[in-house]
Amino acid sequence: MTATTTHAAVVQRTGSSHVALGIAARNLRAAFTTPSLFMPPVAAPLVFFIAFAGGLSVLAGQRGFDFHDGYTAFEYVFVALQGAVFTGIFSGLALARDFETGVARRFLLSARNQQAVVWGYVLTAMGRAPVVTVILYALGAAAGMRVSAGPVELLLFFVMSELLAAAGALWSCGIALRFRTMQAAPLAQLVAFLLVYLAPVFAPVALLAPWLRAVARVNPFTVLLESGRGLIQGDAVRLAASGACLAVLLLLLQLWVVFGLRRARAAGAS
Amino acid sequence: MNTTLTQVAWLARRSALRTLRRPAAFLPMLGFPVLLLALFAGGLDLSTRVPGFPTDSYFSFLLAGGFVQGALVGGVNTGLDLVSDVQSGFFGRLLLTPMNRGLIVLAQLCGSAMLAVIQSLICLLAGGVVGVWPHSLAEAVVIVALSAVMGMAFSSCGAFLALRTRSSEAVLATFPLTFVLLLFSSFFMPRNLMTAGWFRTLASWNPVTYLIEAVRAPLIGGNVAHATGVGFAIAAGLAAVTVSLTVGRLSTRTVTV
Repeated sequence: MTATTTHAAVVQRTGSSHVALGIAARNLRAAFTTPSLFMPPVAAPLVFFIAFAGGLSVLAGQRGFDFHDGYTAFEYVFVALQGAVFTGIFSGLALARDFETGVARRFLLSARNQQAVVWGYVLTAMGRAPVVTVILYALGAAAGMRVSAGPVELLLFFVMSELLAAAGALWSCGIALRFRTMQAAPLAQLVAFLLVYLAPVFAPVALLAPWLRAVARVNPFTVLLESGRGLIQGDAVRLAASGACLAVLLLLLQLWVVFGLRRARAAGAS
Repeated sequence: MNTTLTQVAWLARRSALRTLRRPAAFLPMLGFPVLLLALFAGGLDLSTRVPGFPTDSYFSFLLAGGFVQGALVGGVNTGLDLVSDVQSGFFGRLLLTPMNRGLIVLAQLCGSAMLAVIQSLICLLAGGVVGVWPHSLAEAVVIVALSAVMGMAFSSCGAFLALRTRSSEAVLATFPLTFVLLLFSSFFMPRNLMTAGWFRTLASWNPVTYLIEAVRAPLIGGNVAHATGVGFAIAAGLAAVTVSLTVGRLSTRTVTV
């Protein structure tokens, strides 16, 4: 490798990180200063958390319900991970909104590495997701939620929710690159909604209705949910499997974005 | 008199048809409650093992929520349709006609009630597919009638908001509220089995709880006369208040075409 190509590579890398960080800073500023952007990803999980943990707590006392930290912690894991996915989706859909205003086209035309533009939206998601996770945790703690996890398990759980937020953002960025309109938002949300609800949301897998049990057993979100619930209880349950699931998911979604960029280019959007 | 009725019928027909002709508006109203019913019924099957649970089929318990959710979503749709009419100038032109302003609102709401009836029939059919029926034809008629009144009440809320704000964003912003009303009610669990006292209190203060219980009683048994009586009273009361507010709003509205 010659000095020139090395320098070019360094410039390329610097350029990419500048693009990604610049877009993330812009989007985060907008997300935290605009109530209509900030509230939905925070309020929806809060409502679900209060409703599920408050209304369904009687289920924790049923035979076969083997989660010793109580129903509030059981539901906390679900709403925190669901919140991370949807925060990611909302952050990625900002790309669709930017296509509608023409900003995204200018971003893609000016960036040397167009993937860096997408990573800007992914970083936005990763900046927003911890806010949701922490607010939910604070609410749970205030309501007396029992958590047996130590600092390491909690950290791993937060990393898991960060990676899910990134996955959600990659998914919706791929949708945004293909449709370039906010009208595609329901499609991005519906697929994610089905993925998270075809899992053991309210009870362990063994206690689900037979048809849902069969689907939940092959749903990768089940692995993440069980692993997250294990971490909150202080146990390492299916950690390797959930790590592998996340790695494969992120890899596939990265390809989804790469092909999405090609589609956007072919359509003259960049 | 006949002319007035014809005018109301035409406007009601237009109101219902334009929703039915737009799958993007009608399918979420119909499909989303059915999808949620399937997912929640599968996930909460365990509830039927809780001692004192009123039925051995969680789907039959949950089905009532589908009727109320449909009416709630229908209310948001009515508001959005009215905003679109206001913005396109159609509504302004309608106000310039000699037709009574109260009847203009009533016609819109009749259209929404028609949609609620269609939706309740589809929900009844969905229940029938898995073997959940009201105990008699009379009870099925009561459920459909209650759905119509609920549809009218929630649509009137949407119409009032549309006329007050003239903004589709403001109307759409109430959509999450429909979830809050539904989730903080007896949608998932009977009130006597809610172990968290604060949640039971919240559910008892929520009028949606009584609407759900009114539809639920004919489907799973219980004191049908009392539950449906309370449900009708709440739905009719809500409709009376919101229709009055909407008509009042309209009577002071200046026409700008």
